[in-house]
Amino acid sequence: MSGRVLVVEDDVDTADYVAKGLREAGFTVEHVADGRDGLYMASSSAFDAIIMDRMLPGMDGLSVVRALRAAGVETPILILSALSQLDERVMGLRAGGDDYLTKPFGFSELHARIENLLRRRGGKAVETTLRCADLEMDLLSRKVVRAGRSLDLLPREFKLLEYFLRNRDRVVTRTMLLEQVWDYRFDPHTSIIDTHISRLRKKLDDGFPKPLLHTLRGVGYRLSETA
Amino acid sequence: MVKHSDDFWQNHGFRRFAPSSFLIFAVVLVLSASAASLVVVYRTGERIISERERAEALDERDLLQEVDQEQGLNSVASAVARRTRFASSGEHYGLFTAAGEPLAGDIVGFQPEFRGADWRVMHLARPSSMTLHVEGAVLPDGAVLVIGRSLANLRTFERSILYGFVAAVAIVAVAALAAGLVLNFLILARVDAIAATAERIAGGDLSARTTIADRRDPFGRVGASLNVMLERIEELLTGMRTVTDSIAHDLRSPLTRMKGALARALEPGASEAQRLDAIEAAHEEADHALATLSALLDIARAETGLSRDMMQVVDVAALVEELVDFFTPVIEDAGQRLEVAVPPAPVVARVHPALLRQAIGNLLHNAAHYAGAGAVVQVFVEEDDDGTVRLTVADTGVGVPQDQRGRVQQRFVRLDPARGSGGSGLGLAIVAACAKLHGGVLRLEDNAPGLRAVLEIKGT
Repeated sequence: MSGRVLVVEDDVDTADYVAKGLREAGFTVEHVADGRDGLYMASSSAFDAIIMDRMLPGMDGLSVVRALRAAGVETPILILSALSQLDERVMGLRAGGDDYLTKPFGFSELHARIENLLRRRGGKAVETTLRCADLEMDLLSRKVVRAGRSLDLLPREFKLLEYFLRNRDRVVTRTMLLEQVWDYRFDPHTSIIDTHISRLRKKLDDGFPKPLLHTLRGVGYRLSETA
Repeated sequence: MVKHSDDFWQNHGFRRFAPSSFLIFAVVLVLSASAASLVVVYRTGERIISERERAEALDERDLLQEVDQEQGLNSVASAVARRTRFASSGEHYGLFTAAGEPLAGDIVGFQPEFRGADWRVMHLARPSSMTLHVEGAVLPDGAVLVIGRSLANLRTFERSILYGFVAAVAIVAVAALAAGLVLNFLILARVDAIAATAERIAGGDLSARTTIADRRDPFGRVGASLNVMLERIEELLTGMRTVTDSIAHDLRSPLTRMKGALARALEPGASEAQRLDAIEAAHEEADHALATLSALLDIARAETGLSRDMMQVVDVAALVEELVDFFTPVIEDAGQRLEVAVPPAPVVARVHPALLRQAIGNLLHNAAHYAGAGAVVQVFVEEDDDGTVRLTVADTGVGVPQDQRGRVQQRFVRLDPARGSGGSGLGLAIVAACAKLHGGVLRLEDNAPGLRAVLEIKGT
């Protein structure tokens, strides 16, 4: 996927790390280190996504986000912060951010979230059927069928699979699942997500020649036809 | 030298006698009140004396005028001469012809202003320099009668008033000083006790407490609040020490393991798969350390009340059901059975949703991890009439011994070190902090068998 991404981050190492990764992933990256410059750039030029640090010189990251939203700029914004996730995530989203990521983070996590933001921006059309290969989910009748065979899913499994289908072919991290499906904060001691995934996988892939739900080592999961 | 003299004053308690601003204020007040009353007394006294003397002078004038009418000027002259002779000090007389020639009396220098002078203050040069109140009268044949009264009486009066004032001020000053010193001494003695405690604290003795004579007076209350404050400070400092030690310990372990894993990955002979395994292990340890840090941040925020602006009104019953649903697979995988009892109607309360979710999640996680296979995990949501909401997670597992239940709520406490692979030791501490933020408590009770954790939320 490609697109123009604005990175507003005053820490040089983090900015370089993010910009390098995004460029390698095919994005065009603009970088500014100051909140005011960020506000100017974001409101004067078209970007596909903005990565905004929470604490910036010149103007606080949340204030920039608020100002952009007040000015009618609808570009998806991912907020980065080293502050406590418990409150800051909600504050970031309240200010008008679309997603929130706590430092330190892995690039794969950031990449997955940016892709997720770009997709959300792209397809807002009302879908009633989600598909991946021979898997089909009807959102109205809440029925899931794979290769003509009906799958009997619990509501929580349905919710999880729906999230995967909406992010088909994209990397989904454990943290994203916890936050966006269950609104729960990531805790590495609990392997809850793995438990949920293995149950879903059993119903989804058992007895079919080709698995759809793939585990990506150290990163997360992906629902796709090919591994 | 200066330092030495300071010490000297202090060591000998002289600083107690330094006039406090209160004392100065009292003295100024007393002095100005005395001065004001002095002025009033003086004015009044002066008027009374002056008027009495004038009345006497007028009587004498009238008398002498009568003598003149009945017996003629010569009789007046001899009367004046007689009066002059027997006059007490301060009484002066004069009688002049129409031309101003003295006829009798000790006032001998004629002045035209004598005619018609009505209690006028005049300065006379002869026979001696003096200042008089003068009452003058022109007799029918043009002769001038002068009756003078010296101002000396008034001066005497002034002087006695002044002496009285000085005496009064002296008495007041001595009395005020004495009272001030006694007050100063009493106050300082009590403040000193408090200050001494504060100094001991500053010196590092955190166990110092001030003694309280009487809780009802202001000093007693100050001392009592000081003690409460000290109690809290000591508690916080002890907590802080424990936390720093535990952080050092708890971050050191995952970091050490991480380092070990990375060293494995760097070994020359390691295969690709071994390297990847080692790196993944290191990655997990990093997550572990980060989670410990964010848990500590959360606890700190909850305990200081910083999270309060994130409170919102939600249906707690729905929130709990959602979480239970989320944890169901974990509990089932642990070989346990789950029972949930939630009121059918929404249980609305003002809460911090993220923190509450975390707290209930921790309780469910603990049950799944420690209650053991075959246990029954029960979750209740109850609401009291006063709006208190009780969230209960009970299990029928091994439980926690009574004497350990308080301890497990503290940070970094793990009951069974052998189970070291477990959590950060912060799980219940977060739950306790959550309860505190919501104005409630976390109670750990005996579920006979097993553990019953009750998280109380005060409705606001």
